[in-house]
Amino acid sequence: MNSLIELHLHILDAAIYSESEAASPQLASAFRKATPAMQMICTVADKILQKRTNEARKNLASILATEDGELDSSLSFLRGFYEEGYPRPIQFQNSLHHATLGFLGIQYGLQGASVTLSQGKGSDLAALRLASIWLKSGQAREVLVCSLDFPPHTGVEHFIKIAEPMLAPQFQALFEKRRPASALLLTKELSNQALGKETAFESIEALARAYLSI
Amino acid sequence: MEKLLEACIAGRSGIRDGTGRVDDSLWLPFPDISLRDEEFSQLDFLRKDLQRNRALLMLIHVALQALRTESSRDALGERDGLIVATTTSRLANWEQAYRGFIQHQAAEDFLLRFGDRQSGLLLQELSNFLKFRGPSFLVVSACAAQLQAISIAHQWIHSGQVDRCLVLGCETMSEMTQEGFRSFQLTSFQVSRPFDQERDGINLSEAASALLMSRSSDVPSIAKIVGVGLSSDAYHMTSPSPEGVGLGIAVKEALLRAQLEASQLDWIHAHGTGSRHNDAAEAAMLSSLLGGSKVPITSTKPIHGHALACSGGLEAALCIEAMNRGMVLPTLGLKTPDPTLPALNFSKQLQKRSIRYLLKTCLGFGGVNAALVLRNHEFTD
Repeated sequence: MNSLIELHLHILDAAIYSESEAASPQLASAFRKATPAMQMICTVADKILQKRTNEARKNLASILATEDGELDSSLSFLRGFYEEGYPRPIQFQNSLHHATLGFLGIQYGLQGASVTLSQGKGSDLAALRLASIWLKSGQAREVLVCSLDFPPHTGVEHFIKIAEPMLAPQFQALFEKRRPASALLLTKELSNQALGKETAFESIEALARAYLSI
Repeated sequence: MEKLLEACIAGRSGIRDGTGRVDDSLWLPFPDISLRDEEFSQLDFLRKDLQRNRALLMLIHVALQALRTESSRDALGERDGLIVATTTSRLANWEQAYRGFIQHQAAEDFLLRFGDRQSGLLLQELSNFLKFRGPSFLVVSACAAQLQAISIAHQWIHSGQVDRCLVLGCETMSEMTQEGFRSFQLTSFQVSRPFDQERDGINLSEAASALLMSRSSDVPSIAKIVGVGLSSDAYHMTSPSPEGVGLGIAVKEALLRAQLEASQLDWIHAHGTGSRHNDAAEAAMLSSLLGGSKVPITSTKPIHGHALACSGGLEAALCIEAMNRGMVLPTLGLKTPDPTLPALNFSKQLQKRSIRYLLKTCLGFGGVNAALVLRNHEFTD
């Protein structure tokens, strides 16, 4: 069974995005051009990052595990181009899966290593494995690992609007899965705050819930 | 690789129509790979739907090339790792179906193709083809992705968790990529001219590349990685910081790990896209880093275009081949270095010289940066 101990990781902090939460006032104005995934990652990461100093944030490494990434922006961009012949730059820049983490980095001044991983159900484990590699190699002393998936509503709504109704349920089924954003702050060094016991994990979200319930 | 190196030496650009798209025949069929029976039947199946499987076929092509060099085992084992870097994955497959859906309400085809949208499926199918069940990563961090992947592989191997790592990169051309960069007015319709005063944008291209990395001294190596650096700008979603601050962090980290001064470098292969902002940021950072040192700085992107996520691996492989032949590859299209940039040794001509250390850099949207310092395998510490 996979465990944090095998990966030599310890949790310093954790957070989960709740849909009932509004973004903090400081973040709200920055969200004008943000995608839903960017809003989710900032809202969840804020709960951890607001407790860190600017210097600590600057050196923090970050990893995002996501399956669909910013696919909603990809569909919006293509729809604008195909329907109106007008490709919108903002939707293109937001369409890259790494845009989510790039946006978070800008909001919080994160200048450490940042990598986005997108490998289906294995994304969360891969993110934790990468955090382990970075901590062991000295790439970072602390790593923020985030996980989220936001279904591409643009495509779904448009499909249901114009496609044959009988196909709509099949299409919707492609997007049933939704993972709320969750985040862990990891280190290899044990501290009073760290969760040091062996912890098996199913997902980053499950780990965050386990940590927060302690 | 040999053909690409020859093109760099001869100053022959592959850019034909301002997008850098290469002819399909460059990749298919696979004339130089002898397949086993079971692989051939699987490959034959994949080739029935080239559009859907284009990225996968490109990855298989370079993966088998790397695995079947004389000096390496020809399959990945339990103690090996696999990393793939891409941004487009199989986007070209479903975007055309989306166009059909939007314009002609061809819903069923889109429904079928869109099921293929997740990048992870590409890694899964590649792993299945290679019969690989070990640990893997699929890195999608924009244009720095494959240099990041090389950096991760280096740290992974040194952590002792894997003995070898196959690092692959792949970008296929898609309408979204082309229109997206055009919407930013970033593409040039001429061969790009990095660091030139008349540079007007980038050339997009597609490519796949593979590097097989190992720590074992039993295996003859072609180069040694002595330093890696990763960083983020935290500045802007699409423009690097004007002074190249974030890139500078990555480069300094790579040099520190290599225990080198910048003046000890013999060649810097820059990201060098030919865009106004990228080249200015890189030049500002390199000027600050190098002081008065005249290390040659070049970019081969005018030859092969900007292969986005794959560019780091493709250019690192080119650099290694050139380093082992004692050559600094020139920057095609560079006529007059931009006088508004710091005065650096932007190299227009092919130089024959012994190269001990070289630096490769990459920048990407979202402010992501990566740097790699390589040492010639003929030199020791």
